Amino acid sequence: MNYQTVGHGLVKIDVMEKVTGTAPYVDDLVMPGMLIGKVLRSPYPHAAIKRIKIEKAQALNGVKAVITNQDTPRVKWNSAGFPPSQGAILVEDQYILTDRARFVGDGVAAVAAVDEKTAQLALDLIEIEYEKLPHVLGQDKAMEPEAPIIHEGVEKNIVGHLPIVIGDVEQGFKEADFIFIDKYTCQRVNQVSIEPCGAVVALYDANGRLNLWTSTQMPHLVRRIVARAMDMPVGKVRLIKPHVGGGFGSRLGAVNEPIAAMLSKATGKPVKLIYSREESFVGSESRHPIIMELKTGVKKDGTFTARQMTAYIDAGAYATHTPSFAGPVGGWFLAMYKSPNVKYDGYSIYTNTPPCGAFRGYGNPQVVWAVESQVDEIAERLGLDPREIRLRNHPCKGEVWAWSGWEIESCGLEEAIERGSQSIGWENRIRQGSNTKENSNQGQETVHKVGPETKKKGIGMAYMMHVSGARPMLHETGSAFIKMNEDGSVNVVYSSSDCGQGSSTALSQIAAEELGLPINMVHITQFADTDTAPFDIGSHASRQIYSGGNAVKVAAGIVKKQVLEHAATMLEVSASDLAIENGQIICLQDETKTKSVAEVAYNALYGTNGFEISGVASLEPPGNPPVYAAQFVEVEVDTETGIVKVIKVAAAHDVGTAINPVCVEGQIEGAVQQGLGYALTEEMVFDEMGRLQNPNLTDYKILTVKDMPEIDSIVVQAASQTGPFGAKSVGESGLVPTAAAVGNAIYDALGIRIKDLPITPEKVLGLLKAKS
Amino acid sequence: MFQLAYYEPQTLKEALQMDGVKKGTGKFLAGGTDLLVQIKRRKIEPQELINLKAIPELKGVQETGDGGIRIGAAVTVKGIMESSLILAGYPAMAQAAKELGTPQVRNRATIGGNIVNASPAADLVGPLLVYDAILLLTSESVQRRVKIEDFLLGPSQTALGKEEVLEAIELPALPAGTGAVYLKHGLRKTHEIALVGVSIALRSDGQGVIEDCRIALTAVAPKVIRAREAEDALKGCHLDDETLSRVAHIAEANCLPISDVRASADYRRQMVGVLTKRGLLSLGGSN
Amino acid sequence: MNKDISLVVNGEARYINVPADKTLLDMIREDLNLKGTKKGCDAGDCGACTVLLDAEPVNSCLVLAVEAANKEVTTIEGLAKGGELHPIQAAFIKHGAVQCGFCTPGMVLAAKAILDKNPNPSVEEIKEGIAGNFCRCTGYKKIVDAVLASGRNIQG
Repeated sequence: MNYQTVGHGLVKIDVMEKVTGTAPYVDDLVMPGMLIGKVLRSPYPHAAIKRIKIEKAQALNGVKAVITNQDTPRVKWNSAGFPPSQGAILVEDQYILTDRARFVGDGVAAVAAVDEKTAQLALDLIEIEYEKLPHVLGQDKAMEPEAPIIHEGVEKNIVGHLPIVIGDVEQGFKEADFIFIDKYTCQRVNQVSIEPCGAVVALYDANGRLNLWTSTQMPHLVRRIVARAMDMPVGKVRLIKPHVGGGFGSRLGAVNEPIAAMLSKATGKPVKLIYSREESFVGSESRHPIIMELKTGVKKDGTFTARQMTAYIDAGAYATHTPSFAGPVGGWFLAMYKSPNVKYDGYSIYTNTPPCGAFRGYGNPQVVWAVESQVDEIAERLGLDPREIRLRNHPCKGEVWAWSGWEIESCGLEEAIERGSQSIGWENRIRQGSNTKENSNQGQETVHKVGPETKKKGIGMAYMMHVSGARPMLHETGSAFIKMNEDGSVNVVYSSSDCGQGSSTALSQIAAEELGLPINMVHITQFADTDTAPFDIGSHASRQIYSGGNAVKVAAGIVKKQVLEHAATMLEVSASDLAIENGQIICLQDETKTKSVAEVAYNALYGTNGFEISGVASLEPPGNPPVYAAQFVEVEVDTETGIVKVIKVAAAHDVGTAINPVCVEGQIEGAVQQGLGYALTEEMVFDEMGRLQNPNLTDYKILTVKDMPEIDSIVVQAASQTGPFGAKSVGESGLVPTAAAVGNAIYDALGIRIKDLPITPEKVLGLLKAKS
Repeated sequence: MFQLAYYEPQTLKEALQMDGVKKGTGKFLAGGTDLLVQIKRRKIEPQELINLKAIPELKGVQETGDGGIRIGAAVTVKGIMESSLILAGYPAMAQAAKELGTPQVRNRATIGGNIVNASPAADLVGPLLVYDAILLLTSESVQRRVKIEDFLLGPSQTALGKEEVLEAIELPALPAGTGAVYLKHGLRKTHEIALVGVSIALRSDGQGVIEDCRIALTAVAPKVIRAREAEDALKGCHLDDETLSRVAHIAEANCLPISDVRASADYRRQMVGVLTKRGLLSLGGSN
Repeated sequence: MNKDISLVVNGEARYINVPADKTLLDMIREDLNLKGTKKGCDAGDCGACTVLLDAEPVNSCLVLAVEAANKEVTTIEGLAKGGELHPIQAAFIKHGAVQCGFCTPGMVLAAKAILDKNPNPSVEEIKEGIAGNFCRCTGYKKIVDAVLASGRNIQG
């Protein structure tokens, strides 16, 4: 399809502000009389607070409020951002500030003071008497009978068990020619948005309304959560979202908004609470470590007879997302390959570590890491090309996708595999063991004068499917309000939760396309304001374009209809004979009958029986078409140091129609950086006392520009039937298959299979040693 | 941070007479890239900061009369990296400088700071050890010269007196034909604190027999250390495979690594061997 | 202890009274009210606070404000001249090198430092020059493309 606006890599709408440094983020906001908030955190992984003395802190000049658990509303709440839905299992187990520390870093008190220095000094003056309690780290240990209980009444610390059964796996295993049993694990990683997570200004105003300026991915749902935590009506909370310096899931729920709200309520002043980098590691939620036990029955031809996974998910110290998150984990697993018999058990387990929550991919990177590593092994055992086993078993267009229970609208996997293979040079791939790879890419550096035998190259691939929204697990209401100005331009009022990915730009393109307007006549709200923007559940589940785009397109359609009807009256023709092209009304029958959209809008507003042309759409999206991706990775492993150098990533993603291809590429490229870090270098490491050892960017290793390989982002566009202009999604999927593809490439290079992320040099050397 | 006084003495004498120096309540500030982080994290709480950057004696890289060079302690890491004297005569220093931190850090951090911090992972220190650096320590009354090996005592511990300042670093002339290298090992290609570093200075005769050799090991002991047994084992040998693996093993045995968040002791030890071998090979090839 | 300092910020002379323990970053953001310079870690790791100090890129969180006395500071606000974007800024826009924008000011200044010394840098030189600036959104690809292209633009 040829579109005027959709499909073009238009310049993003927010870039002028961002390259000139004028784009405001929360920390840039200054208000009269504004105070600075700070949080006191537990030094112990598990401890009851026996006594807390705040008098000295209160007495310090410049301190305006000191709050503790005793000041918090007596409601337990859950910080995770879910609309009330069947798939949202909300265990309410936290207070805004705790009276029993459950991890190192748990907030126990907070202060508001005239400046940061005073606030810090005040924290030093708070005296707390702790009673240390036994603690437990690691979800496997936390389930043992003798493990200390972290929340009263939660036996074995299992806060959720989510089972899925399809068919009869035992029967399926009987029918299998081969059975593969493996255990895969993965580490905890942090989103590391460059704007540290946890940035808010709260103002509890004289009218008793709570105003929050916060860096969030879900304005309306965070408003709801804060209202619950503060025990106040939703309507009394107003949330405004300025620019967000990266989200990646970390801002998928309340972070520190309730603390700032309490401080503001206590002082009547605006309170800014900005987490430091260190705090953002422990004070926000990271990616879940999961222990995944896999059992797969397979026929000689590579079809699956039974697939089973048991997932032990480390929730951290509070439930937040986890019991619900166990659902998608099962969903990713069961829906990525066809099998008549599937069994899944997801256990959510408390540990004395910071809570885990949402991170781009929401469980899918973990599942795909395990499944795609094992499938690689299965392919090898069966003598199948790794691509072939995927093509034979993936659910395809016209089939029912088990994640949603709905028919798949389009599938670009074949094309993705084809183009990805070509890009990486799959046909030249030499199977592992031969180890004489002079083949593929040239230009490899010989770092030191070591024999060529110390560097081994390999190519691997992995595949994934992902969502374009949250249905049917969650109610996914999204809304847009579009009004036309007298110059023919439109304001798209949308509860934007663009965190830089370009969704506001793409939504503007959808509106422009539907309305027949040039893009510069579309003005979308960049700052969400829950007082004025209609309801939307936010930026997650890769849903902004499919779901948000649907709302925008429907609203634009209503506006378009009004424009045409009013133009028809003005031109004395039938509306069905009119169309809008590039801001001009054209009559298909009579080209002399024309008006600009501006003339029509002006006439509507100021003519007889004046009205503003406008339309609102508020609805759930029509479906949830899955996207597909195949990533191909070439690595070179130094067999003496264990260092894995990634030479190239060919990332082929079926995104449906790419509304803005440049933004799509940007999503893939950025996700690959996170995926490679997940595979190789990133890990939150705790000591035996539950203290995070690397809450900084020296020792928590996200990749630098010099570590990045060549990335070929291949955009496959198998248009959906229900998405706006055929769009599906891209936001999360770019990092989902990366770790598995790296692992499979390492296997190709060395014949060793690492089953626990990250793939560190030490693990590589350990397995190499074991192999020889 | 907290109330803090700040001074910018213009002469060494002035700096050494500061109250904060006499009372021990002050800290010398040069690049600040470590010091300010320590202050922000409240690991140290000095009352005075005495900025040394304006002091002429601490600036510049110059030739000394005897064929060596003198590096002012406040020369930045970038200055080390780009100094023609260092690039020509002491390339392993330039190499180590290039691998330290990030461009922004190299613009500020100084060689003096890198030494005085006494981090076991300090990038510049390994090359200084193999180049036999002499440190010029100055107090109000005395000036003394101390070998860098004797200066470093342990993590964050040095022989620097309370009222002393590290004024300059002297690198002696090297015998003709000496090659040197610094190999740094980290998970990323940049922005790393060394997991392991190996510095080697090597001189062989026309037949490839090693006449002299110095090896320093970084981040594998409480301080950067010399691997003397490995050095001794090399002397008089050719760089053949047998010698390489023998010396690599000795170097591994020479170190005392710890396990921490960055790497295990075993892995560090193993990398000492690999890097030692690779470093020797790279020098063997260049002769 | 406070000090009176004078310095030139984006071409303009400024006189400021600052406490000795205040960083250049905090002075830029709080006293000069230039909010384009970002605080991403306050420990010299992320590069988001990069400014040019006498034309050299530094982490302004690791420089004391008093150390900037009598020096020239360039922040992101000082790049566009007379409403015209600096070619690097224009290239960042054109090449899609901006996502969340939080690393962008520091990244642009690091790029400027590269190009001021070498208007036609290689890809390797560009990577070396921005190696102290983390980006979590873009995978750096379009950023490198933008710097490469702006090098050519500046050269004409």
